[in-house]
Amino acid sequence: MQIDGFTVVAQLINFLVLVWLLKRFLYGPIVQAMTARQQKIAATLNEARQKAEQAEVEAQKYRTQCLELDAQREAWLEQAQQEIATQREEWLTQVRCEIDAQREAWLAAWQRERTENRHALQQEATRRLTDAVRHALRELADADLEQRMLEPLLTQLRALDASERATLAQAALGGCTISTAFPLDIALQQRCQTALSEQLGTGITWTFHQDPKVACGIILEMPGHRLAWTLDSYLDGFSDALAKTLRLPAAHASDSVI
Amino acid sequence: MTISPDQTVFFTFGFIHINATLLFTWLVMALLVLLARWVTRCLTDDATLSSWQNLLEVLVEGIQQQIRDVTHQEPAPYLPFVGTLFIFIATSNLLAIVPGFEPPTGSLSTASALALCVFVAVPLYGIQRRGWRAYLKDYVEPTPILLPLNIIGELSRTLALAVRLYGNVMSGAVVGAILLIITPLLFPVLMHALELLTGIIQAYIFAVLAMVYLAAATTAHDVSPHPPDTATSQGEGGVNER
Repeated sequence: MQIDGFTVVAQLINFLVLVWLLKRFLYGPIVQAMTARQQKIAATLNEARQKAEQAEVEAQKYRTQCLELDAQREAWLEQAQQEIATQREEWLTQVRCEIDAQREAWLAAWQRERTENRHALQQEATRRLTDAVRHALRELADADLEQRMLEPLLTQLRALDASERATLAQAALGGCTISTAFPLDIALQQRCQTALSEQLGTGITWTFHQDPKVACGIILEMPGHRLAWTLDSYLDGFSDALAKTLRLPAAHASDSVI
Repeated sequence: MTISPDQTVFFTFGFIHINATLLFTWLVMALLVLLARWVTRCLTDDATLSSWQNLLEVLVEGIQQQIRDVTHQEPAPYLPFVGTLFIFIATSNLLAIVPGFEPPTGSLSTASALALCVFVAVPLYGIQRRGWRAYLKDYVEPTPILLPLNIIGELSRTLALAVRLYGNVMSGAVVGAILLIITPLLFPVLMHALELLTGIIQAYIFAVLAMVYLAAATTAHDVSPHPPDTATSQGEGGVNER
């Protein structure tokens, strides 16, 4: 065990040189790299912390906004429901009114149509009945019957008061036409002229006319006046009376329906 | 068989003689510098780094942490000195398993040179940190009568540093060589593995003791008659070492 002085000095210098070299090539760069990394990590962590805080703030903000949106949505929903209910009620009321109006209109139209149909039916029934009676009387009527009908006409003429008769006489001066359903023979025409002249005066121009429409009777026509006795007048009266009779229960029936 | 690599001389010019100690020291120095230069050439401060950079960062960070634990101070001023002590001694001891390599730390001259470095560095760091007066005052504390003992303590611990390192490394190499002669098959392998462990431990002990001495020199001692639990944590290392 011996110590070499030269070796000791040389090793001492070697060690100092090694310290300098390692300080330059090892410790300095490594410590610098570690410090840079630590600063970088610290900066990253700081940045991450700031971002986390910012994210937390944003999250809180979004949560608040979500709550506000939820509340607003609930309010909107409630308002919409109220508006829907109001609108529904309004529409229902409107529809009910329209339905009632349409029902009323339909009932009125139905009632009117029913009434018209009933009237038409009554008129048709009356017309058919009258036609049947008129037809039957027309078939039963003949010249003798019409001859006999001259008497009621004369009776009717005699029943007139003097002023009316004078008016007719004055009118008869313009010409008088006697209409019958069947042609009158000469004797009957003569007799008719004589009887009428007794009532209306002389100097009257008589004209005899055959009219098939005159069912059974005789018509005396003058300018501006007309005097008749026919079965048609009876049938018309019968028809009116029948119509009144049929219309009366119909009116009661329509009142009960309404 | 030579006990010390100092005895293996390759070149002599006057009083200059290049022996195995110097040669292998230069080899270790070149290896460390080139490796450091190669690794630190492309350092990165990103999250992903190379394996070599990771290794060196772990090494440097470990040394810094040890310095911080022992001295309770910032490790930056002590890192080059203490770190180089550990790395050089550990590398030299680890390379002992390479056939033909003789660890320079097995030389008493190398151990003495390293111990002298510590012996000189202790007052330099102490004076730089605390000033002349405060540092020299430690030698007359708690009483000037202890001045000779303090000086002897300084010298003896330097001598102990040198002899401890030299004795352990040299004994390991010698024991390995003797066992290689006696049982050349299996036992030397185990002894080499043990030698690696011993070499790392010796490097660690040398560096830690150097740190303790530096901490003792750079920290004010509390020598007042207070109970030990009231002493500051920074002064405990130095006082206990004494």
